[in-house]
Amino acid sequence: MLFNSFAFCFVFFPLVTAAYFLLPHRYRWALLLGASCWFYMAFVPVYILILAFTILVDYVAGLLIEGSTGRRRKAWLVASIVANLGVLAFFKYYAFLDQSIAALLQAAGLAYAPTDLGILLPIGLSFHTFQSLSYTIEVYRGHQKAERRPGLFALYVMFYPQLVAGPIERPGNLLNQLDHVHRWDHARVVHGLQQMLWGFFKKLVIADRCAVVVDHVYADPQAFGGAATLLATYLFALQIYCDFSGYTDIALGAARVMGFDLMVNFRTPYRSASISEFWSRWHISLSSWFRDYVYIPLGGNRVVRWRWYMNLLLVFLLSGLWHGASWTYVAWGGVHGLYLIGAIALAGVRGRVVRFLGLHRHPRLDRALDVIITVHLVVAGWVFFRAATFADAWAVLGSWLRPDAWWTGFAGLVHELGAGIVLTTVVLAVGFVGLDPWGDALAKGERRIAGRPLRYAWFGALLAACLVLGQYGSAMFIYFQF
Amino acid sequence: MRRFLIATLLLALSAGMAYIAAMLVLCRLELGGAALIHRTGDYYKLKGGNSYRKFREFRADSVHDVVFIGSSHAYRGYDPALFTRRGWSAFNLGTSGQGPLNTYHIVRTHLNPSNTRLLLLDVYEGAMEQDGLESTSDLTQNLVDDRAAVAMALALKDPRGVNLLTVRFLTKDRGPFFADSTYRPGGYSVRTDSVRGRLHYVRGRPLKLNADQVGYLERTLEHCADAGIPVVLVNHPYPWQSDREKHAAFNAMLGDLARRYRVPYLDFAYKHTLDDEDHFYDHNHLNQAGVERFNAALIPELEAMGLLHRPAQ
Repeated sequence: MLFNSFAFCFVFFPLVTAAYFLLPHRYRWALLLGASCWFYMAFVPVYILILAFTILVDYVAGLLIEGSTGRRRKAWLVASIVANLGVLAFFKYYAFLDQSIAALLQAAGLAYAPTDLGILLPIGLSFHTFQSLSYTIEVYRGHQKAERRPGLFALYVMFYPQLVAGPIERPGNLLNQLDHVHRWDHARVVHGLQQMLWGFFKKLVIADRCAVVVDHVYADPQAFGGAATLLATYLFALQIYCDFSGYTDIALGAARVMGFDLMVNFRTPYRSASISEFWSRWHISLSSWFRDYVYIPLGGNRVVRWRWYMNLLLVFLLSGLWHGASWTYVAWGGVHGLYLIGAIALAGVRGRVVRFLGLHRHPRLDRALDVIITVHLVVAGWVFFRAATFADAWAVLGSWLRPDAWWTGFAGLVHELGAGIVLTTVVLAVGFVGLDPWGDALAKGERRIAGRPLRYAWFGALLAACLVLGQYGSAMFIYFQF
Repeated sequence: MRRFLIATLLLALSAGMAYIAAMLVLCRLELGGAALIHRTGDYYKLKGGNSYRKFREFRADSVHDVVFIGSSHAYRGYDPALFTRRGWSAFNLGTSGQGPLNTYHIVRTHLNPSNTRLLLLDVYEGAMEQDGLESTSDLTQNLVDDRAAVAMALALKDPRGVNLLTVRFLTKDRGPFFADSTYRPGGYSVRTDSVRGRLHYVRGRPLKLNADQVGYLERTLEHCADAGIPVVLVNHPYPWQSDREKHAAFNAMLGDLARRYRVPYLDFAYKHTLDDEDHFYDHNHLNQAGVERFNAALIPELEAMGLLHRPAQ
C-alpha cells in the first residue's frame, strides 16, 4: 500500500490509528501486526512468506544466541547472517550476479547464457533484512535481550510505517517501545500529522513533479545537451531527497501519532559542508548501520592509513550495492568512497588553500563555499545512481563538457512537457531549497510558529499546495525498490 | 478529542481558504490564451471543441431513435446524418477517451426512455483500460449539466477530480478557448484524410481493464434496464493489423457481460471489409469513407434485429 494513495490516507491510516487508541494495550501489538501484514500484502501477497522466514530465523537465532556462549554463540549469529543475506542475495542479487558472470565469460570468449528465474524483488527487502539483522547482532553483543514473545518480535520487523523504506530501526529503540503504553496525546498526534503533511508535500509537490522532467531526460540522456542533463540532474538531486525524506516524514509522523519515536533519517543533507557531514545527514539509519556493523568491526580509522582507506571504500561500495543490483549503484557508492578518501588525503592542502585565500577569517563564507562544493559533488554522484547504464552516465557527464552542444534537445524537452509545467517545476524546486531548513525544523518539532493563526495558515497552505500542485497518479517511492 | 476535532476543523478551514485563493488566481489569470492553472498540470483540458458544442446542441426534450455514446470511436464512427438519411433521428454523445465511468453519469443525467429509443454503447477496450481522468477532464469543462460533472469528478476518487470541478466552477462565465472545425451537427466529428505510410501497430500487450470501468459498465446496463432504455453494445471496426488476441480477450469478457444483462452485442472489430489505409485516418479511428461503409452495414443489422423502431402510431 502506498502512503500517497486514497486507501492509505482515508481508510487504512485513520482506521488503524483509531482502533489502536480504542483497544486495550494488551491487544494493540496484534492490531499493529495484523495491519502491517495487510499493508505489506497490498503489494505482492506471497512475499509475506519471505518476511515470515526472516522473522522465524531471527527470533529463534536471538533465543539461541542468548542461551549459548563462546563458539556456539558466534555460530548462531553466523547462521542468522547467512540466512538473512542468503535471502537477500537470492531475491536481489541472483540475476545481477548471473548476468555479470555471463558478461565476464562472454568477454573471455566463453559461451554462457544467463538464466532468467523471473524473480520479482520483494518490496523493501533490504530494509527489513538489515533491521532484522541488527537485532541478532545486538543480542550477540549483549546490548539487547532476546525477545521471547514472537508476535512482538514480528511486529519489530514488520511495523508498518517503516516496513518498506525505513528508517532501519535498531531493537534498542523500536523493540523496547512496543511495550510502552501509549495514550492519546493531543500535542503529539497533531505534531505527527504535521510531519506527515510535510512529507506529503515533499513527495507530491516536489519529488513527483521533478520526476516528470528527470524521467524524460534520463530515458534517453544521449539525446540531450548539457543544459537539459544538468537541469534534470539538479532536479533528480531534489527528487530523490524529497521522495525518500518525504516517505520518512510520513513514516515518522504516522508512528508518532500512535506514540512511537522512530529514528531521524535526514537532517537537511544539502546543507552539508563536507561529504562526511553529508553522510551524517543523509539516510542516517543506513549509514549508522554500516558504521556500527561493518566499518567499526573492520577497524574503522584505528588502523594504518591504507587500511582505513580500504575500509571506507569497501563500506561505500557495499552501500552502493545495498541500493541496487547494478554496477551503476556500486559506482555511485565507490564515487562517495573516493570523495571521502580524497577529503582525508587532501585535508592539509585544503587547510593551506583556506589560509592562502584568507577564508579562515570568514568562517561563514568558508562554510558556504564548502556547502556549494559538497552539493555539486553529491549532484555529480547522483548521475551514476539515476542513469540506467554506464553509457548513459558518461553521456550525462560528458554533455556538461560540451558547450557547443549545450542546448541540444532543450527546446524539445520544454515543448514536449509544456513550458508552463517545466517552469512551475523549476520555480517550486528553487523555492523548496530555500524553504526546506525551516519546514524540516517545523516538521521535526525543533521549531514552532508563534501564534495559532499563522500556524494554521502555514499548514493550511501546505495542504492546499498538495491539492493544487500535487502530481497525482500512483507514483511509487524510489526507495521501495531497494 | 474535542480539541483534536476543533483543530482539524480549523486546519480544513484554513486549507480551504488557501485552496480557493490559489485556484482563483490560477483560473483568473491567463497566459498565452489559457488560464495559468493549465500551465501547472498536464491533466487539465481547455474548455471547447467537440464536447463543448455537442452538449449545448443536445436537447433532452427531443426524441432520438438512437443515441451513440462512448469514446472517440463513438463520435468519429457513427454519423447521425447517415442514420437520418435512412429515416432515423440520431445524436452522438461520444467524447474523447470516454469510458463507462463517464458514460454512466451522462446516461443518468441526460437520457431517459422519452428521449432515447435505443442507446448504442460503443465499447472499446482502450477506453476501458484507462482510469477515466482524460475523459473527466474534458467533460467537467464542457458538460452543461452540473450534476453529471460533479458525479464523475468525485467518482475518480482522486484530488485531481476536485481540482477539475473547481476549475469548472471558477471558469463557468468564460467561453470556449477553441473550436473544432471537424464538428458536424448531431455531435459527430468528420475526418476525410487517410493513413499515410506504414503505422506502428502495438501488439502483444495483455488486456488490463480498469476494474472501476468494468463496474461502471455493469452499472450503466443495470440503470438502463431499470429505466427502460434499450441498449446495444457495439465494437466498431478495428484495422486488420491491430491486436486481435487482445480484442479476443476483451470480446470474451464483453460477450459474457452481454449475456448476463441480456443486451445484444455486435462485434464489428474484424467483421468488415475495410482497408487499414483507405478507411482509417490513424491506427484505430475510421475516416469518413470507413464510417460510411461501416454505418451502411450497421444500420440494416440494427433494423433487422428490431432495435431501430418507431413507436406504434
